[in-house]
Amino acid sequence: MTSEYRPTADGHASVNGRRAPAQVRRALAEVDERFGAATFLRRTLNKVFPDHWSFMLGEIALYSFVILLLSGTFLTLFFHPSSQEVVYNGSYAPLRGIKMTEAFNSTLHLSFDVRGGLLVRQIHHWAALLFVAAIIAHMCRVFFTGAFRRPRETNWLIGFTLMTLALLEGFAGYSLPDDLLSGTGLRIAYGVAESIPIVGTYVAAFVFGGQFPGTELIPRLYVVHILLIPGLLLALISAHMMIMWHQKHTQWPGKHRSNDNVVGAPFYPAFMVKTGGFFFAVFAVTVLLAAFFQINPVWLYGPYDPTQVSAGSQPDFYIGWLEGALRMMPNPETNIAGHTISWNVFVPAVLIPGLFFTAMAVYPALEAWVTGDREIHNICDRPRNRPGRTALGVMMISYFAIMLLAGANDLISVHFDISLYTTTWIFRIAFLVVPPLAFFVTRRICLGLQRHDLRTAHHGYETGRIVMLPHGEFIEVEQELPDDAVARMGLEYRQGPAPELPPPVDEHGVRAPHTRNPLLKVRRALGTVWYEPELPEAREIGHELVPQDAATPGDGRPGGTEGQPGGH
Amino acid sequence: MTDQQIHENRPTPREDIRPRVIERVIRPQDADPRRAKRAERIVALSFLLSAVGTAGFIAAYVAFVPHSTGSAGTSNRWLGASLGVALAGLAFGLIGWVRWLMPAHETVEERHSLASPERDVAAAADIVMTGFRETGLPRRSLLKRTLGLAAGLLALPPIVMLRDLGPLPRTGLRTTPWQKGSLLYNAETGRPVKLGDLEVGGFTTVLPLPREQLSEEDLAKSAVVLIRLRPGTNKPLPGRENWAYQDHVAYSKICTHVGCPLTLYEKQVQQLLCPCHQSTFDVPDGAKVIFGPAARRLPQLPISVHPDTGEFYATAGFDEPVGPSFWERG
Repeated sequence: MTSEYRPTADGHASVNGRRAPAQVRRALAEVDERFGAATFLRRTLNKVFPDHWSFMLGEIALYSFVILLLSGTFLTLFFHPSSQEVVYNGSYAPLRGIKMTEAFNSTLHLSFDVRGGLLVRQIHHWAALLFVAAIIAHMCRVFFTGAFRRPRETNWLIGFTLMTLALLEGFAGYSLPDDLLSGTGLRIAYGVAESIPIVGTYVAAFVFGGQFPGTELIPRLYVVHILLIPGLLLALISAHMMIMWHQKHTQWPGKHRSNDNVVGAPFYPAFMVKTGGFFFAVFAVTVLLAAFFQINPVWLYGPYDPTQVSAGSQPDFYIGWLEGALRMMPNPETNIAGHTISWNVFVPAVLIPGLFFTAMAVYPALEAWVTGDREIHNICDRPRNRPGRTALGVMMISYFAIMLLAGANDLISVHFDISLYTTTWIFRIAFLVVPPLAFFVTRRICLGLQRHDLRTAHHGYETGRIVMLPHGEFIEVEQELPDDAVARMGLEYRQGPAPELPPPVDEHGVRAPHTRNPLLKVRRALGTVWYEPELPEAREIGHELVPQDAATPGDGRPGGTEGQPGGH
Repeated sequence: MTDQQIHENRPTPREDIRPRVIERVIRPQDADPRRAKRAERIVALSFLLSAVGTAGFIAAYVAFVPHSTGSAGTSNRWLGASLGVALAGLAFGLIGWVRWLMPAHETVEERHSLASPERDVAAAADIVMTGFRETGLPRRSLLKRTLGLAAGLLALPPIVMLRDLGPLPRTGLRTTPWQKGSLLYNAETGRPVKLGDLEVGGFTTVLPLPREQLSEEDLAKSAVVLIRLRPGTNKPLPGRENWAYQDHVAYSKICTHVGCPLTLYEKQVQQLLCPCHQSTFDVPDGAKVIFGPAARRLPQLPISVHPDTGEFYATAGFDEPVGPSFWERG
């Protein structure tokens, strides 16, 4: 394998053979004597980054976070998190003379009387939407490519925590201006807290500092929004990045690429400058959105009034699925021994999110347990090569998509001229029917694509040219695949069928563990979700493309694959 | 010593300075200096555009002093457009510089096992165990238990101190300012509503006191809708025959689902609809739920009219908690 990497004649970087000027060496020596930085720099600057558009998603999230810190700091200079009642007399004429809280008043002030204030507010809101959207997209890419597998399970958990914190951070920030829309959101949050059995009434009273709305919540949310959660985000993002840096990126399968190397561009200077440019690109997009696309015009909603609500109230998209879950839930409520449980609120707003988020957090552990996979994985899976996982992911996405759409059922009803109640029923039924359907359809599509890949790898591309042979047989001319094409299919990384079980009773008359241990039975049963049927094309091609996992079962030791293919 | 370590310990040959190139990529501009020069000009132009954008931003900041709705929008667009150009110019220039002018070769780096040599793993485990024995904890169970007790108890003060985050709920969720004799103050005008103020099909929000005299908490739970139904359509629940007055009925405005105010009244079908989650209440039928996620009817406020003044008043307060359900509601 080493021979493949033999460099071309003058392939080395141009610095080869030249020495750095004395000043540069002296400056570096000064730093090095104090911090021992040279070894670190040497390794770090030469770090190789694999290049693929899907690896940018995490970068977008990171850069939106930087934009949020910058714009948020500016906003704190003008925003006053206070529920004190004042009368507005600023530049926005329609609200002059109206009573409102100081929080809303200062939001209007920074929007209309501070130059650039409105721009920064809109940058902050757009960047928040982009932040959450990029995190979700990044999580999807990590999920569907299996980049969460050993050794990266910890970073999946940190990323999951970041996503959860980002949702809370967004909700807290969106509630701060104390406008009619955000106040309605807090009213719903109070009602949801009340629905928690046993402790709900107390949770609500303690969080809000008494009855709704109270005067405590805005200052509390402010501390949570500008100190507590950003601090946690900053710490966890740092940990996320350091672990990623240390473990190195995953990469797609391809020529020259193996589980034991990284192919791409060096960090310094190419990647460094490119990613710096990308930061400015993300920033530019956010600023242009803020300049030309109005977002959260709180002055149109007006100050919060608990006796009012505007029709068509929708939260930001990352909370919208919760709103939809509340809307489509039927209305059971039980009353036993003087105690009320509002299943109609508790199930959609607490229980289902809790279950879904737990499922996301434990998924890597679950998959590793069911498939018994303890290998180190540095090669991305192509989603089609793992039909079970891909189907589960699409199923999860369809659950969230249906809930999100249900959160807009009133608008769907208006714009598509469907009765409101019909839309609710459509979503109720869809919630039960569509996700399982999505699972089976996705699985079938993945298997179909795999079979297509296997056929193509074996026979080459179909050309559609039919040729008659001298003895009269007709054949289709097949075109040979380019050099890299088969390697990029990653066929050796396919999931493959379930491993053979030992016979239920061995020659000594001892029953095999899988017939006795109920946990192993569960594991075997769950395996049907992940493992695939044996594909006829795979059998035809034979041994050369047998899935790697099936061919070399792990010895259970971390780092077991290290050093095998290299053989320096 | 493994091959790997031998490889790492030998003196670095010069060619190891940069990551190994495995695939040379030669673009037209690599061979043709004129094309490279053109790429450089495009990058430089992009940086210049960025500088112009920044100058424009300063100019827009000085030029547009927002003191009205319209000028705030103008200021926002100019500031945003110029800053956007400044950032986009920089972004385009930097990325173009990398893509067109820096070497595009594919390089490779070996991954080394993250796992430490087995000897180190064993030594680390031994150190942990030896140190643990040195502390004496494995034998001194008294020490272990008292330390556990002390450290465990120390978790309590932060939890206990959360107690004063808010008052206990007590009766707050069960009571409203409505009581026998409360007049029905129009939430907008602050004047008591009189018989004849509402047309047939009319709908208004009323409060037990003028808005200024209610705290925010009381305001949030005491909003009531007064509705004048079409004559003869009201079907009072058993025991509530005299809770309405001449086709006027009063129900809590706070949805029994999660507490949004019911602001939509459909006159034709005489239904109240919550704009938040679309719970629908059939007003003439005791405001029972006919669709949506709410589980309970709206609490009804019994009302009557003073024979002298013609003003509506409550003949009693609510006989059940208003708003969303909670554990102790019963």
